Amino acid sequence: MCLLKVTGLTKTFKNKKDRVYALKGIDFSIKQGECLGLVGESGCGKSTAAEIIARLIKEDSGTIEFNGAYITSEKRLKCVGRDLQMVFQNPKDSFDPKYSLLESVMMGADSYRIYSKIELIKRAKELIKYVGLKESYMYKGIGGLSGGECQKASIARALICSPKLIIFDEATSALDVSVQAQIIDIMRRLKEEKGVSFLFITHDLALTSSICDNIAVMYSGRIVEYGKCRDVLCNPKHPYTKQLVSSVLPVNRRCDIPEFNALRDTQYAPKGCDYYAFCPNADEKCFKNVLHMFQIEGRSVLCCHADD
Amino acid sequence: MLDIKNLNVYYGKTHVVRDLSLKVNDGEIVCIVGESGCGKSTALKSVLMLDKNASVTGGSIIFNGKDITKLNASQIRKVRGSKIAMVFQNAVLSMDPTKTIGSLFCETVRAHNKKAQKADCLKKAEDIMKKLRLWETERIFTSYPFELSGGMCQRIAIAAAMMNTPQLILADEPTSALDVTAQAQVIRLLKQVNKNFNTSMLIVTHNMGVAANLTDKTAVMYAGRIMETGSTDDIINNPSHPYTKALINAVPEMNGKIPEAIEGLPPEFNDDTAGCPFAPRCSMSKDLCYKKLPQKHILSESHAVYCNYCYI
Ligand SMILES: Nc1ncnc2c1ncn2[C@@H]1O[C@H](COP(=O)(O)OP(=O)(O)OP(=O)(O)O)[C@@H](O)[C@H]1O
Ligand SMILES: Nc1ncnc2c1ncn2[C@@H]1O[C@H](COP(=O)(O)OP(=O)(O)OP(=O)(O)O)[C@@H](O)[C@H]1O
Ligand SMILES: [Mg+2]
Ligand SMILES: [Mg+2]
Repeated sequence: MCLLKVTGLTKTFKNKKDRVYALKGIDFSIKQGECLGLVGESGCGKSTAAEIIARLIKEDSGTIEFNGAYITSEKRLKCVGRDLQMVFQNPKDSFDPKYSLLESVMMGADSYRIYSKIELIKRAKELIKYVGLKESYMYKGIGGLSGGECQKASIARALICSPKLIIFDEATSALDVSVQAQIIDIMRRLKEEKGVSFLFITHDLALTSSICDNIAVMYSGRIVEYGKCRDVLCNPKHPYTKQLVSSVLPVNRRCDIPEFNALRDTQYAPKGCDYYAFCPNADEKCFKNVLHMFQIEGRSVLCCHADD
Repeated sequence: MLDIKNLNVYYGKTHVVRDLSLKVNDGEIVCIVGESGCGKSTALKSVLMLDKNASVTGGSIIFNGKDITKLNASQIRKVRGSKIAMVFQNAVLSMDPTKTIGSLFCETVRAHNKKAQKADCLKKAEDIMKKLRLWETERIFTSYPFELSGGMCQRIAIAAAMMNTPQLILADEPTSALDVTAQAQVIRLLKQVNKNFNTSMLIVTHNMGVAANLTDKTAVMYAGRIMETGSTDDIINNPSHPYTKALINAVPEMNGKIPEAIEGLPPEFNDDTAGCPFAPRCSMSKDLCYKKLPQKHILSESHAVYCNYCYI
């Protein structure tokens, strides 16, 4: 059974003059104990999707089913809160610097009253150690933590209520590779032992390959490719995914980075394909065929080139 | 160009940066890698004396022949932004939320050149932004930082740092919020700026791909100290210190292999035991390591390591 099912989610932001189409209709689902990786161009709407699912902002249209109930209607907020936790892209932003580390982590359980005070303190202390923070930081102000330490603290806060789904919005980007490996290990244990599910938003494709079962690649407010993590990363089908995978910098040598320019004028995006300007395969078919999700080799690819 | 000698930084009583020495030559790109919380940002910020909570005791930071630790506030302000530009770890928080991105760019330029025209500033910003894959420049100029995504803000911070063509760019994890394509373009641009204007750079990163493809020299830090320095190629392909080796070993790969973490926790900063700070987690440590702080051992002209054993 699906723990989370998102269908047709859209969101438009209104700036002073412009409209930003942040989400143009995305669908995906996450099963219990599954980890879904969400990757893609910076600014393509990943955080927006996460924030809508966590009920921090409101969608324009679309439905979200969580644990068998529609959470897009107003009533449900409370019951979801505990089971669905989020680690934010800017951890420092999400804490009040007035409080100590221990208090901040305990706050994750504040509104749910599932533990007694003593239990709560015990659990918070355990979690702080579990994510690899030094014990001497327990009573230190959150403002005095480094970027990575703050990120660990927000992971601990998300874990305190034993949620069913955790959204990680670039929760490992400020961590050194060894601590990253530790967090991956924690995720893996939660997944296997407790059946916790994850929506793992990241820019690190290599990390997704070590923890995610499935992966969704986003471009400009749409999911362009969705499938088994291995398949998609080793044998990408959508031109954007291909370009993304080929941009990964090698670790052990220097490479020449080519300049990246638009191949065509962006204004004439045909039939809604936003990748047109960069797509090496674009031709007159892009104008004739409408974008459609196709199933090829066990995955879905958004494309206008149906017959190829 | 920049010569940091025996820098020591405290937060209150906590001794965070310990005896750090690091040199950035003219036109050189140097990076610092290391454990989260080991003092990388603290070291970088102290080059511009930015953190009021931090006290720099002992050591010197020589920039263009002047000791920055001895300058007063207004002298430092002159250096900041025009000669040395900084990109902060947390780009969104480092921007004023009440100002649009367009006015941020203008102010950056006007802080050092009062007569600059708005149109010229924006034109210049636009050129840089396009190179960083930020296409919707019009919209971005009229947006506030919180209306942009994390990666967009980060690229704007990088663009802002380049506006005054500084001699030295300090960048704290400048690509952590970027997709790999944008990351590659940032590196491409930084390299171009380095070549065209001979700009030196000191960069903190957790991404070994960035280190390998951008930097000439790498310093590995652990618990406030430097463990190993060398050419980036040496550090990545021929590491000597057990910590460096373990760190390189933890780099995730695309093949789905599970990366290996280093067992244990980093030491407490107020724990002033004699020996090597990495000893308790080191697979090679012997008795001596708990007693004697390793001295610098020169392995080659450009490669040095602080370890009691591994140079043998
Ligand atoms: N409050 C807002 N007002 C106006 N526009 C917004 C707002 N929040 C986000 N946007 C816009 O929506 C788009 C998607 O932003 P989002 O933060 O979801 O991107 P992202 O995929 O998380 O990117 P990144 O990887 O850089 O974090 C961006 O173009 C951004 O400028
Ligand atoms: N304002 C502060 N007050 C007290 N302690 C601080 C303050 N800022 C940082 N620290 C402590 O100093 C140490 C070094 O912090 P710093 O931010 O330099 O780490 P870092 O190497 O940049 O780590 P990261 O990679 O996680 O960003 C940390 O242990 C942190 O807890
Ligand atoms: Mg985001
Ligand atoms: Mg830092």
